[in-house]
Amino acid sequence: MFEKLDPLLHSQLRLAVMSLLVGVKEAEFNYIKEKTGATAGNLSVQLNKLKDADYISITKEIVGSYPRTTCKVLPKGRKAFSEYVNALSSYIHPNGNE
Amino acid sequence: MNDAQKQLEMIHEMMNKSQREFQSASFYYLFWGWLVFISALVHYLLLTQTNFTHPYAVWATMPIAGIISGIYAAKQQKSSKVKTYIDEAIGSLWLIVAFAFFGLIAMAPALGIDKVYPFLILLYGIGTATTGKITGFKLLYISGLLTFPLAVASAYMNFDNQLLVLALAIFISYIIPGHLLKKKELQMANSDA
Repeated sequence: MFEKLDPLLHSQLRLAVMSLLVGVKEAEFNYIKEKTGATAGNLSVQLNKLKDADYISITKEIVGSYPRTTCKVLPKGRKAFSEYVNALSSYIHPNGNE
Repeated sequence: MNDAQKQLEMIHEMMNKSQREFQSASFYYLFWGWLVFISALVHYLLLTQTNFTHPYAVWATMPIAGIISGIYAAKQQKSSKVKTYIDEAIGSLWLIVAFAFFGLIAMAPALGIDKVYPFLILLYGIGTATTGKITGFKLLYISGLLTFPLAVASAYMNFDNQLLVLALAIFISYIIPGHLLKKKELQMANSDA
Protein backbone atom coordinates (compact mmCIF):
# COMPACT_ATOMS: atom_id res chain seq x y z
CA MET A 1 0.00 0.00 0.00
CA PHE A 2 1.45 3.36 -1.06
CA GLU A 3 1.46 6.16 1.51
CA LYS A 4 0.06 9.56 0.54
CA LEU A 5 2.68 12.19 -0.25
CA ASP A 6 2.47 15.60 1.45
CA PRO A 7 1.52 18.02 -1.39
CA LEU A 8 3.46 20.85 0.25
CA LEU A 9 6.68 18.87 0.04
CA HIS A 10 5.86 17.36 -3.34
CA SER A 11 7.56 20.26 -5.09
CA GLN A 12 11.18 20.07 -6.16
CA LEU A 13 12.25 23.40 -4.67
CA ARG A 14 10.34 23.17 -1.38
CA LEU A 15 11.68 19.64 -0.88
CA ALA A 16 15.22 20.82 -1.66
CA VAL A 17 14.86 23.64 0.87
CA MET A 18 13.59 21.28 3.56
CA SER A 19 16.36 18.75 2.82
CA LEU A 20 18.91 21.49 3.24
CA LEU A 21 17.40 22.93 6.41
CA VAL A 22 16.85 19.66 8.31
CA GLY A 23 20.62 19.12 8.44
CA VAL A 24 21.51 22.53 9.88
CA LYS A 25 20.48 24.69 12.80
CA GLU A 26 19.62 27.67 10.59
CA ALA A 27 20.56 29.02 7.18
CA GLU A 28 20.51 32.40 5.51
CA PHE A 29 18.36 33.12 2.45
CA ASN A 30 21.39 33.61 0.17
CA TYR A 31 22.88 30.30 1.29
CA ILE A 32 19.65 28.45 0.42
CA LYS A 33 19.47 30.31 -2.90
CA GLU A 34 23.06 29.37 -3.73
CA LYS A 35 22.67 25.69 -2.81
CA THR A 36 19.31 25.16 -4.50
CA GLY A 37 20.12 27.26 -7.57
CA ALA A 38 16.67 28.90 -7.35
CA THR A 39 15.86 32.50 -8.29
CA ALA A 40 15.32 34.91 -5.40
CA GLY A 41 11.69 35.53 -6.35
CA ASN A 42 10.70 31.87 -6.64
CA LEU A 43 12.59 30.94 -3.47
CA SER A 44 10.89 33.72 -1.54
CA VAL A 45 7.43 32.47 -2.60
CA GLN A 46 8.23 28.85 -1.71
CA LEU A 47 9.74 29.80 1.65
CA ASN A 48 6.59 31.71 2.54
CA LYS A 49 4.46 28.65 1.72
CA LEU A 50 6.59 26.55 4.07
CA LYS A 51 6.35 29.27 6.70
CA ASP A 52 2.54 29.50 6.40
CA ALA A 53 2.36 25.75 7.07
CA ASP A 54 4.59 26.20 10.15
CA TYR A 55 7.23 23.96 8.57
CA ILE A 56 9.90 26.64 8.92
CA SER A 57 10.40 29.95 10.69
CA ILE A 58 11.74 33.02 8.89
CA THR A 59 13.56 35.73 10.82
CA LYS A 60 14.34 39.07 9.23
CA GLU A 61 16.87 41.40 10.82
CA ILE A 62 19.29 44.16 9.93
CA VAL A 63 22.96 43.28 10.37
CA GLY A 64 25.19 46.30 9.90
CA SER A 65 23.25 48.10 7.22
CA TYR A 66 22.14 45.00 5.33
CA PRO A 67 18.90 43.02 5.70
CA ARG A 68 19.36 39.38 6.63
CA THR A 69 16.78 36.61 6.34
CA THR A 70 17.35 33.42 8.28
CA CYS A 71 15.33 30.21 7.99
CA LYS A 72 14.99 27.39 10.46
CA VAL A 73 13.04 24.12 10.41
CA LEU A 74 10.26 23.86 13.00
CA PRO A 75 9.24 20.57 14.70
CA LYS A 76 6.13 20.31 12.48
CA GLY A 77 8.31 20.62 9.36
CA ARG A 78 10.80 18.07 10.64
CA LYS A 79 7.97 15.59 11.27
CA ALA A 80 6.42 16.24 7.85
CA PHE A 81 9.81 15.81 6.16
CA SER A 82 10.43 12.53 7.95
CA GLU A 83 6.97 11.24 6.98
CA TYR A 84 7.54 12.33 3.38
CA VAL A 85 10.84 10.45 3.17
CA ASN A 86 9.18 7.35 4.65
CA ALA A 87 6.35 7.63 2.13
CA LEU A 88 8.85 7.96 -0.74
CA SER A 89 10.70 4.90 0.52
CA SER A 90 7.44 2.94 0.49
CA TYR A 91 7.13 3.74 -3.23
CA ILE A 92 10.58 2.33 -3.88
CA HIS A 93 10.27 -0.64 -1.54
CA PRO A 94 6.50 -1.32 -1.50
CA ASN A 95 6.91 -4.51 0.54
CA GLY A 96 8.97 -2.77 3.18
CA ASN A 97 12.14 -4.59 2.11
CA GLU A 98 15.44 -2.85 2.97
CA MET B 1 8.62 4.88 -8.86
CA ASN B 2 11.49 6.41 -10.82
CA ASP B 3 10.46 9.87 -9.59
CA ALA B 4 10.54 8.68 -5.99
CA GLN B 5 14.07 7.38 -6.51
CA LYS B 6 15.15 10.69 -8.06
CA GLN B 7 13.59 12.67 -5.23
CA LEU B 8 15.34 10.55 -2.62
CA GLU B 9 18.63 11.12 -4.44
CA MET B 10 18.00 14.87 -4.46
CA ILE B 11 17.20 14.83 -0.71
CA HIS B 12 20.41 12.94 -0.07
CA GLU B 13 22.43 15.38 -2.19
CA MET B 14 21.00 18.46 -0.44
CA MET B 15 21.54 16.97 3.02
CA ASN B 16 25.14 16.19 2.08
CA LYS B 17 25.70 19.76 0.92
CA SER B 18 24.74 21.20 4.29
CA GLN B 19 26.38 18.57 6.45
CA ARG B 20 29.80 19.21 4.96
CA GLU B 21 29.67 22.78 6.22
CA PHE B 22 31.28 24.02 9.37
CA GLN B 23 32.80 27.33 10.24
CA SER B 24 36.42 28.17 9.66
CA ALA B 25 38.37 27.21 12.79
CA SER B 26 41.99 27.62 11.69
CA PHE B 27 42.13 31.16 13.13
CA TYR B 28 41.57 29.84 16.66
CA TYR B 29 44.16 27.06 16.32
CA LEU B 30 46.81 29.35 14.87
CA PHE B 31 46.09 32.35 17.09
CA TRP B 32 45.98 30.41 20.37
CA GLY B 33 48.57 27.89 19.23
CA TRP B 34 51.30 30.41 18.45
CA LEU B 35 50.42 32.59 21.44
CA VAL B 36 50.57 29.75 23.99
CA PHE B 37 53.64 28.23 22.27
CA ILE B 38 55.59 31.52 22.43
CA SER B 39 54.33 32.31 25.96
CA ALA B 40 55.42 28.89 27.27
CA LEU B 41 58.91 29.29 25.72
CA VAL B 42 59.30 32.88 26.99
CA HIS B 43 58.18 31.74 30.46
CA TYR B 44 60.75 28.93 30.31
CA LEU B 45 63.56 31.29 29.23
CA LEU B 46 62.68 33.91 31.85
CA LEU B 47 62.57 31.21 34.52
CA THR B 48 65.82 29.46 33.62
CA GLN B 49 67.98 32.17 32.04
CA THR B 50 67.15 35.34 33.98
CA ASN B 51 66.58 36.51 37.54
CA PHE B 52 63.21 38.05 36.64
CA THR B 53 60.98 37.65 39.69
CA HIS B 54 57.63 37.33 37.90
CA PRO B 55 58.23 35.17 34.82
CA TYR B 56 54.58 34.05 34.84
CA ALA B 57 53.60 37.64 33.92
CA VAL B 58 53.91 36.51 30.28
CA TRP B 59 50.50 34.82 30.64
CA ALA B 60 48.86 38.21 31.25
CA THR B 61 48.32 38.27 27.47
CA MET B 62 45.74 35.48 27.78
CA PRO B 63 42.71 37.58 28.87
CA ILE B 64 43.44 40.06 26.04
CA ALA B 65 43.70 37.15 23.61
CA GLY B 66 40.37 35.87 24.99
CA ILE B 67 38.72 39.21 24.16
CA ILE B 68 40.23 39.25 20.63
CA SER B 69 39.06 35.66 20.10
CA GLY B 70 35.56 36.55 21.36
CA ILE B 71 35.31 39.55 19.00
CA TYR B 72 36.43 37.36 16.08
CA ALA B 73 33.84 34.71 17.01
CA ALA B 74 31.05 37.30 17.19
CA LYS B 75 32.02 38.73 13.78
CA GLN B 76 32.21 35.26 12.25
CA GLN B 77 28.80 34.44 13.72
CA LYS B 78 27.28 37.55 12.12
CA SER B 79 28.78 36.92 8.71
CA SER B 80 28.13 33.18 8.54
CA LYS B 81 25.46 32.11 6.06
CA VAL B 82 24.69 28.85 7.82
CA LYS B 83 24.86 27.57 11.36
CA THR B 84 25.26 23.81 11.71
CA TYR B 85 24.88 21.46 14.65
CA ILE B 86 28.59 20.69 14.25
CA ASP B 87 29.44 24.37 14.86
CA GLU B 88 27.25 24.36 17.94
CA ALA B 89 28.76 21.14 19.33
CA ILE B 90 32.33 22.38 18.81
CA GLY B 91 31.53 25.80 20.30
CA SER B 92 30.01 24.19 23.41
CA LEU B 93 32.96 21.83 23.75
CA TRP B 94 35.55 24.63 23.73
CA LEU B 95 33.49 26.78 26.06
CA ILE B 96 33.41 23.94 28.59
CA VAL B 97 37.15 23.30 28.06
CA ALA B 98 37.74 27.03 28.77
CA PHE B 99 35.71 26.78 32.01
CA ALA B 100 37.74 23.72 33.04
CA PHE B 101 40.90 25.73 32.29
CA PHE B 102 39.82 28.52 34.63
CA GLY B 103 38.94 25.91 37.24
CA LEU B 104 42.40 24.36 37.05
CA ILE B 105 44.15 27.75 37.18
CA ALA B 106 42.06 28.59 40.27
CA MET B 107 43.25 25.35 41.90
CA ALA B 108 46.93 26.08 41.16
CA PRO B 109 47.67 28.16 44.31
CA ALA B 110 46.31 25.36 46.50
CA LEU B 111 47.73 22.35 44.63
CA GLY B 112 50.89 23.84 43.13
CA ILE B 113 51.28 24.92 39.50
CA ASP B 114 53.32 21.81 38.59
CA LYS B 115 50.40 19.63 39.74
CA VAL B 116 47.85 21.27 37.45
CA TYR B 117 49.99 21.64 34.28
CA PRO B 118 49.62 18.00 33.17
CA PHE B 119 45.84 18.46 33.36
CA LEU B 120 46.05 21.66 31.31
CA ILE B 121 47.93 19.74 28.61
CA LEU B 122 45.33 16.96 28.83
CA LEU B 123 42.53 19.51 28.35
CA TYR B 124 44.14 20.88 25.17
CA GLY B 125 44.28 17.30 23.90
CA ILE B 126 40.66 16.54 24.84
CA GLY B 127 39.41 19.65 23.00
CA THR B 128 41.46 18.98 19.88
CA ALA B 129 40.85 15.22 19.68
CA THR B 130 37.08 15.62 20.19
CA THR B 131 36.90 18.39 17.57
CA GLY B 132 38.80 16.11 15.18
CA LYS B 133 36.38 13.26 15.84
CA ILE B 134 33.27 15.45 15.38
CA THR B 135 34.49 17.07 12.15
CA GLY B 136 36.02 13.88 10.75
CA PHE B 137 39.42 15.60 10.46
CA LYS B 138 41.60 12.60 11.33
CA LEU B 139 44.84 14.51 11.81
CA LEU B 140 43.23 16.78 14.38
CA TYR B 141 41.97 13.70 16.24
CA ILE B 142 45.38 12.00 16.19
CA SER B 143 47.29 15.15 17.16
CA GLY B 144 44.92 15.65 20.09
CA LEU B 145 45.46 12.07 21.26
CA LEU B 146 49.24 12.48 20.96
CA THR B 147 49.18 15.07 23.73
CA PHE B 148 47.88 12.46 26.21
CA PRO B 149 51.25 10.68 26.66
CA LEU B 150 52.88 14.12 26.87
CA ALA B 151 50.50 15.05 29.69
CA VAL B 152 51.36 11.83 31.52
CA ALA B 153 55.11 12.37 31.01
CA SER B 154 54.86 15.96 32.25
CA ALA B 155 53.41 14.72 35.56
CA TYR B 156 56.86 13.23 36.30
CA MET B 157 58.81 16.40 35.44
CA ASN B 158 59.66 19.62 37.23
CA PHE B 159 57.83 22.82 36.29
CA ASP B 160 60.61 24.16 33.99
CA ASN B 161 60.40 21.09 31.78
CA GLN B 162 56.61 21.04 31.94
CA LEU B 163 56.69 24.40 30.14
CA LEU B 164 58.69 22.80 27.31
CA VAL B 165 56.26 19.86 27.15
CA LEU B 166 53.36 22.33 27.01
CA ALA B 167 55.04 24.09 24.06
CA LEU B 168 55.54 20.73 22.32
CA ALA B 169 51.94 19.65 23.01
CA ILE B 170 50.64 22.94 21.58
CA PHE B 171 52.86 22.61 18.55
CA ILE B 172 51.48 19.12 17.85
CA SER B 173 47.83 19.69 18.72
CA TYR B 174 47.27 23.30 17.60
CA ILE B 175 49.94 24.68 15.29
CA ILE B 176 50.41 21.74 12.89
CA PRO B 177 46.67 20.96 12.51
CA GLY B 178 45.95 24.74 12.43
CA HIS B 179 48.13 25.18 9.35
CA LEU B 180 46.64 22.08 7.72
CA LEU B 181 43.11 23.29 8.51
CA LYS B 182 43.96 26.63 6.93
CA LYS B 183 45.16 24.83 3.80
CA LYS B 184 41.99 22.70 3.71
CA GLU B 185 39.74 25.76 4.17
CA LEU B 186 41.51 27.57 1.33
CA GLN B 187 41.08 24.52 -0.90
CA MET B 188 37.36 24.31 -0.03
CA ALA B 189 36.91 28.05 -0.65
CA ASN B 190 38.59 27.72 -4.05
CA SER B 191 36.51 24.69 -5.02
CA ASP B 192 33.28 26.54 -4.05
CA ALA B 193 34.29 29.59 -6.09
